[in-house]
Amino acid sequence: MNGFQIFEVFFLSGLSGFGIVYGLLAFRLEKRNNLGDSHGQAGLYSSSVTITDRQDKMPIGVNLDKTPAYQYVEAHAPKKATYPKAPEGNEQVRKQQ
Amino acid sequence: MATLCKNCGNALIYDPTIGKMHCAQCGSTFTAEEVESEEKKYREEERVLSRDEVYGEGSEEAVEEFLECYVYTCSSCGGEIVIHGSETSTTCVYCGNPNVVFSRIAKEKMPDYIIPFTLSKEEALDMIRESMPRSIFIPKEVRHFKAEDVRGIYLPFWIVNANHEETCVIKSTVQSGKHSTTILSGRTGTMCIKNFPLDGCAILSNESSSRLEPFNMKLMRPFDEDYLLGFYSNASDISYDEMYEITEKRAREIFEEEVMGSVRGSSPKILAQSHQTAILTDYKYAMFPVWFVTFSYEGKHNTILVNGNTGKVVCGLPWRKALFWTLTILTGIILSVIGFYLFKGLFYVLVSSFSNSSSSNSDGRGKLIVLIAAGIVTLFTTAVKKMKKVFHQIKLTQSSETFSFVKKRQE
Repeated sequence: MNGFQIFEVFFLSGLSGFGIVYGLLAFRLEKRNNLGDSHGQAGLYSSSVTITDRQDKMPIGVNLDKTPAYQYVEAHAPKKATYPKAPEGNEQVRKQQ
Repeated sequence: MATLCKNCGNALIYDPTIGKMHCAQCGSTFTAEEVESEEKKYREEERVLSRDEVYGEGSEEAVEEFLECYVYTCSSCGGEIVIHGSETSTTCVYCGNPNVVFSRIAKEKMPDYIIPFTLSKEEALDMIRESMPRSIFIPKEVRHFKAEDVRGIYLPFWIVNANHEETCVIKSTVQSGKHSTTILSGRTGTMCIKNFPLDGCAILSNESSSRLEPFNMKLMRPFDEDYLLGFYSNASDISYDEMYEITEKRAREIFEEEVMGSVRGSSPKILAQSHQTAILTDYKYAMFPVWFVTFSYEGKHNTILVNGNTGKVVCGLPWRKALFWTLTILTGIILSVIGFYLFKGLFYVLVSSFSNSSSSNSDGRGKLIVLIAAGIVTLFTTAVKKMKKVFHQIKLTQSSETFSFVKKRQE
């Protein structure tokens, strides 16, 4: 092996060695030092998600602006809610009277 | 104002260990329903004085820092009670009696529900000590920390029901034999969120308060101000836009996690989307219990949060940086040297064959090198994400806003 090849092997083994150690220690640190790292489960707050439309294997366009993806989103975009909902704006939230 | 014991007239406090009001003087206990006093009437007309009005404009006490303070009179001893920001209950600094400030929780601000504290101060500290893992990276001074302040604070929460509608296109990669294909999948759906609690305190980070979840909603009961006695509390001070922002963010997380799981292929990513979240008008206002425990380490203040209902501990613990990096470098060097000798033969074959052999063999070996390199890069990237998370959690724990939120209350 010439000098360059030895450097390549050393570089790759160094990257692997440091990568494995850094990865393992970072995982351990994050697991041990982060207490309570979770939210309430989704099941506590939501009824099941109802899928009203699905399309698999959509064609991929060339120009991102005109892809079928954007056409799909535009066609199925949620309509503005007409039922009563909480106010919006910068005022402080107040109880419903 | 203080609620007094029927038997001896001493101020009552709520004791989480027995779930009742307790008189430290004579030992009597009462449920919230048994305690009735004229102070429970809502004094909506009562006008509070600002510090400026009490001490005069331009006086020494009327510095900018205090202009958000309001002054009340303790009903037990007549002493001055200073309330900051959106606080609604505190302790008189002169007689130590708990006081609930009625005009702060006038009818329009009165919560609908409350989950009383079920953990006492000692139990909260025990929960923290039990949660402390054994790790070489956690300093001994942190594992056996000395609490400087332990404050039980009722935080304002809004319990909302919301409808979420979303349409999105998800990009994913499907492997078929040696080839991988990118596919697009469209999903449109609706979701209803029920009884979602969101933190109504502007100064406290939403990320910290959301990690306190879940709260045991079965213990939620109609609000009675007697539960506040002996604890601190705050009124809500977030805007409607902030309420929408928090709800929408969580709704999107739940919806997108669900639809991503319904798509074929790996590494799904949202390519395009449109969404709408509408909070229904039946939102409720509640107070949830949280213990705030502060301690110092290396000159920095740290605040640990404990869910006063379930005992869940939330914080990012300070860690021994010097030890971590020294261990990483030294062990990395050792592994690299071992790796060099182990892979020397393999890489020699790969590298020399890559230079000399036919294109089909060199393709295969080239792919192997790329695969190894990709694996290493993925490991590094994941490790960097984990470290960023650690730094972020420490930042929340050592946040000066959270520390002053706890510290500025009267003792």
